[in-house]
Amino acid sequence: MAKDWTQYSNLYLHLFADCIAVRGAAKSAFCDLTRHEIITFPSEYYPVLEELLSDRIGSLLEKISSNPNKERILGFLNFLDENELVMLVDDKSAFPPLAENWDFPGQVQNAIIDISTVLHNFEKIFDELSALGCQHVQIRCFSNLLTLGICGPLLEKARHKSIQSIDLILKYEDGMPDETYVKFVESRPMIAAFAVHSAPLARRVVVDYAHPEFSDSAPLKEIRFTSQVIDSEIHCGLITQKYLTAPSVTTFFEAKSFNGCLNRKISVDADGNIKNCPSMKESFGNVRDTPLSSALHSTGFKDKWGIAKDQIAICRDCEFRYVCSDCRAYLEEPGNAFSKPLKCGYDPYTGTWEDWTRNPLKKKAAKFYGIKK
Amino acid sequence: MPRETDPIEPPLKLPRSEIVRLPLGYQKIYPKPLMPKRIADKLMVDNVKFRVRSFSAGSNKPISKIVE
Amino acid sequence: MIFIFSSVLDLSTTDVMRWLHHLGVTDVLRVNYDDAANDRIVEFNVDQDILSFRFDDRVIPLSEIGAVWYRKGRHWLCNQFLDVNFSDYPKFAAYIAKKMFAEELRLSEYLHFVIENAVPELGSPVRSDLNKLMVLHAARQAGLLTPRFLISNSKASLKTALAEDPLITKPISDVLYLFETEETNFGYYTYTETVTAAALDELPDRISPSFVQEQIIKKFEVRVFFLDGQCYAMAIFSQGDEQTRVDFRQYNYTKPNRTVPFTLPPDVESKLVRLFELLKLNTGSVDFVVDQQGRFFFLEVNPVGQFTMVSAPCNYFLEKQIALTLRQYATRNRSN
Repeated sequence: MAKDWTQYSNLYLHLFADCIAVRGAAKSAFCDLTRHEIITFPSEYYPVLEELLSDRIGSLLEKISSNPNKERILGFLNFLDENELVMLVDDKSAFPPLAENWDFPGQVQNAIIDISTVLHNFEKIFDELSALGCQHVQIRCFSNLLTLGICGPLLEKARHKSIQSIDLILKYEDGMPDETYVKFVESRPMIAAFAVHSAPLARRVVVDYAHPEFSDSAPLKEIRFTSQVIDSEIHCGLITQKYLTAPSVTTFFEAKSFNGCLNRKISVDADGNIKNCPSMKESFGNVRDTPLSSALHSTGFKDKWGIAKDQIAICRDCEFRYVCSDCRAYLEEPGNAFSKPLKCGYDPYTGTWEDWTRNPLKKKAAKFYGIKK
Repeated sequence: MPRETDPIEPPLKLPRSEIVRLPLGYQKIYPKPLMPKRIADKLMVDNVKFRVRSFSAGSNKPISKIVE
Repeated sequence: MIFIFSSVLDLSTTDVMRWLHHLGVTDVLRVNYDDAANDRIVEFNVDQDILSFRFDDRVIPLSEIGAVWYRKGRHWLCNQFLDVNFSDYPKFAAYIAKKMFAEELRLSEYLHFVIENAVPELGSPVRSDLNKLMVLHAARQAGLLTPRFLISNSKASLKTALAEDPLITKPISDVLYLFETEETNFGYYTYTETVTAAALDELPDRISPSFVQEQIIKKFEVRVFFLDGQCYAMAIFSQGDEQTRVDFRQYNYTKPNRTVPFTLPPDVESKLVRLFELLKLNTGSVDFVVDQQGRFFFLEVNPVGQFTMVSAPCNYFLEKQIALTLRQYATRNRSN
């Protein structure tokens, strides 16, 4: 239902501070940081947006009335209103934009620990992560080494520290009934996400604590079984619609100034090497004899933390750049630290998604990394 | 459109004749089912370092992007 | 050392503790009023006005406490008094129980008094027990506008008032906020409500004293978190949504209200600072309603202010600010 805009002649149109317009090449997006939504619109309307925010409604309506694109401009105005992206004010200065700060009470925010043939000393790792203020840990096992039986006591060691949640990606144990997996999660509320790979049947199993009406408060509702075989870190780096972050104040401003994936991350690869992420080449010591904090403070560890999307070719023209967690490990141009992620199939110049593995231009880089598919 | 928080017949079944004897500010009482203790106990994590009991919240961005 | 009085369920306290650790303040002690099972105050002594207590294995003299934050709760000694069983005389037992509770209150009041006089504090257990009507009076003293109100035990008076202005009603003391876990396992809440002619018609002629207030037709609401002289303001746009139009705490989780940073007009800000001086509080949350003419109407102060709901959407990092304030208090204290 279109508004009668003539009633508001004296007022200005003003974007709510939590609705931030991000300009892309073909498409642009409003990132609604409160409702955690991305609302896209064609980039031709971006200058229209700027115009609509610049003057009182009365003057705008006058200018629009003589514009050949009058209907489309009014249509866009109503689109802004219907999505509750704008307010009407007489003093824009009373409603300042959000300060673009990002900070975190810890030297490290999240960590990835990979396991293949060696079971690391998790108690030591958790202690060291806690000293760094780490809040989220993801444990990925590529082999059958980390069974539920071993994982259970291991997770206990993560308790009563700075760590708030654990994500698990484990390999399917043959013959393990779903019920055992469900009970495992139910009794360990620290587990925030659980995926089981190399499973015979892809499915999602719900963990609802026998009370579905409280699902809003339950942090995990399902265990994800996938037939995908995750046998090494090489499968990481997927940039797909599912991995776009639902925008929020913290994630948006982090992505504006820092690298969405590597910022305040530390990882231990399957061989115990301490790296920015297990898929990166550079090692800063081995967890056997190097404390995590020494690795963290060695020269070069934090170099990539500041590589934000605005510095990356192609990504800087993408409307999703502040909701994308990026990947610096697998690049379209392996020698260029500022090139687009290899496994991203989105083209911001056409506004379309494609399967990156089908792109002949990416074959050479895939071969370089040893990615088979 | 009924709001989901309209004052419905609460489990207390308070007689109207008594309700109107309360001060006006207390006459509309909204009931909301509480999470049963056994569920809350399952979902909450005790943390001795911070002396807090809470629902554990995962990261709001992906930590890695390995699962298809 | 920094002492924090809180609740075992309070997440904001944990966030502040994380910031304190990150800012180099590792000696932080949290005491929860509702964590009886883990209450570790083993022994305490007050020798004249000098307090010391043993917490776990550590003896803590007052002189070692750099700063205190009263985040939540008051009766942090709730389990110090031994249970007494006079099962043969229930009426006498009930009276004794009341006496013990009063004894505990007085001791608690004194202990907080001792701490207050020796240690810089953020928040205050004593001055946090606010009478909302007296706060409205103080607000007017500070130069702030407050909506017209009436308190009456007469149905006729309320009807006359309603004929003049649209009205809302709320409790004089605190809203109902009960978690009833024994009989029904339900929570019971009340909110600010509009007063309708139909609701008044149902009332007896003589009613319990009720508080009604002129309903301001809002443009938007403003919540301000006050911290040690600084105001952090947020505008809430709730009037477009029927569910939140009267009381924005009836949260609409499917379509949340817009909450955005706001710059308080300088005169409102200075009056707010003045109000906190009058109330002798150094922290709290304040609610305003802004009418169609842009006038600010003060509604209430909550001295145990929820600041996360202002900090997160506005990106104010209030948890960090509180940690910095506590660290600053402790540093100043040391140099005295």
